[in-house]
Amino acid sequence: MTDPILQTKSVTKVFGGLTAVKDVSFEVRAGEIFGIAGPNGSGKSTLFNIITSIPFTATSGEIYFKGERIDRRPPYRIAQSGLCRTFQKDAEFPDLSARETLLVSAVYNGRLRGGEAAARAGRVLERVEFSAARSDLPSRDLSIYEKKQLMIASALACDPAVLMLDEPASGLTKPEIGKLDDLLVSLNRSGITIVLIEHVLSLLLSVSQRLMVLNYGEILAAGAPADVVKDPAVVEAYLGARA
Amino acid sequence: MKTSLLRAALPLAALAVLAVVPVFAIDSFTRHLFIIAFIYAIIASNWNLSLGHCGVFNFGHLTFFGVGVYTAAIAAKTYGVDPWIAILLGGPAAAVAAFLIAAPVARLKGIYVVLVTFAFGQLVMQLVLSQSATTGGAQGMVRIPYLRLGDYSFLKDYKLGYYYVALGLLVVSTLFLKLVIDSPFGKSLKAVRDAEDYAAARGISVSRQRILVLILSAIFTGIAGGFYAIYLRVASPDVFGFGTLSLALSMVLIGGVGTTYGPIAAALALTFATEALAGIRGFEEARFIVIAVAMILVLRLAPGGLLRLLELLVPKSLR
Ligand SMILES: Nc1ncnc2c1ncn2[C@@H]1O[C@H](COP(=O)(O)OP(=O)(O)OP(=O)(O)O)[C@@H](O)[C@H]1O
Ligand SMILES: [Mg+2]
Repeated sequence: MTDPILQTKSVTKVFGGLTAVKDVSFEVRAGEIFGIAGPNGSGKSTLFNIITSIPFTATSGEIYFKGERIDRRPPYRIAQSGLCRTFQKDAEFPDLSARETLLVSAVYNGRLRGGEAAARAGRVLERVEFSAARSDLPSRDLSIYEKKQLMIASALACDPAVLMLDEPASGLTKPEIGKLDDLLVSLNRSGITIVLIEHVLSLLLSVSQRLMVLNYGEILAAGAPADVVKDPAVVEAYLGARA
Repeated sequence: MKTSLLRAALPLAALAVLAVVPVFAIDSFTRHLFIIAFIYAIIASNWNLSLGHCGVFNFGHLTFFGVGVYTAAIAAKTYGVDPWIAILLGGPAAAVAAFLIAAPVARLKGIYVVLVTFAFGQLVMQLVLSQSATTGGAQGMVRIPYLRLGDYSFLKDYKLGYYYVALGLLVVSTLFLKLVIDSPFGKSLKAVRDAEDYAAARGISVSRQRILVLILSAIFTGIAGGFYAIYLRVASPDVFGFGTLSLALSMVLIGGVGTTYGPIAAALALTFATEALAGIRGFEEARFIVIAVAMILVLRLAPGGLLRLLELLVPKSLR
């Protein structure tokens, strides 16, 4: 078994009277695709937020990345060390084009200089099959799908060791989800560890090697996806809640 | 990457016109107005770098100008430094002032940035007023040494020399701003302005970019201050006053925050507009109200500034 590349130890996040994430300890192994599921409000995004310290840190607990403790580092440093995330809500740099967004990511996160950064931006655009004709438009003029593509692309331009995706498939059509599935598998094959939060179960189950289910901020079940989805507690809390 | 005809050609055409203005405007008063307009253009366009491009509500921008004024004045008059060098010293001095204010401001948000930067300006003004042995206090400093170039006297040429020095400073400052804005650093400023969390998630240090943008915006503002002191041969605490601040701010806002040439165009227009209004009897004081009303109208009707409005009016094929 490989060492964990990412690990949390008893992380907790409290908002006033609400404990959004409660005593969560889990590990992600280098090279795997690790899925996270859970009903709305179960603390999935909050877990991403405290792992990356964006926009807030955990109330308590410890977070380790590549064996080093990262929970006291400034957020941009965490990203620079290779732990790169996307956001569930649309996020964009409206004045920057897709190419410029990737260039900035490559320069600041990937520590590349002019020509190299531009070359990486070009490669990533091709990798996510971003329309070449639209890569120089300001992001504010892009379609929803293009914005989602760009969000993943900008994380890739950062040269991540671990890519953390928060519901990348939400709002996508069936064929678009199919493409995303292929992309995730191919990125994973090229050596990128992926942590995936997803409500679209077909995608989550198709790509994840291990799965964790959260409920009310706590781990309800974790393990092989096939076992986890059969767990009675999961069926009741997660699937039951959605039915 | 988009090079439009209008965007590329218009600034060059404007520069060509400004270069020959002194041939036709031979009186020193008109030239003086242009010189003042150029100085304001430098102030406004550099303010736009922090305010427009990075969204830092720095209300202490005129402090950088004031620091440049007093640095040049003290260097040239008290220490006998060559006035040319004294002008340039305004740059680093203002950059140091910017660094001092930037550190506490970098982590603050919104209205707190306004309050702290404004308070910083007041603090510097109090410092200038209290250190009267060095700064001349409320009286300020007069008879500051003027520019010379070999045997050429800048005092007897109806301001021709000062005109070209001011225009030259504006050109260099504008090239500097373009270089900054078009670089990856410049793009990171827009990222920080529009989506702080996303920017941090892409390896950009939000507070570091804010500190850097304040320092960069101070350099040419300080040099403009140095030039102002040497040109007018006085340094007065008025430069820290609310009048200059609001006039420069209206140039940024009317010209269009985040545009490259908007604040420069607005500086030229407003300098002549305020002067024209001052010529009308009874308008000497009221002109600032007129400008304030104009500013509010522009913000209501054309939030992108007049230059954006102009672009919308020009047919697409020309852009
Ligand atoms: N900044 C915040 N301030 C206060 N409460 C918050 C904040 N962010 C999240 N919460 C609360 O924490 C809980 C967990 O929210 P979170 O966004 O992590 O859920 P989620 O599992 O990502 O849900 P979804 O599937 O809807 O995205 C929710 O009850 C939410 O209202
Ligand atoms: Mg969520």
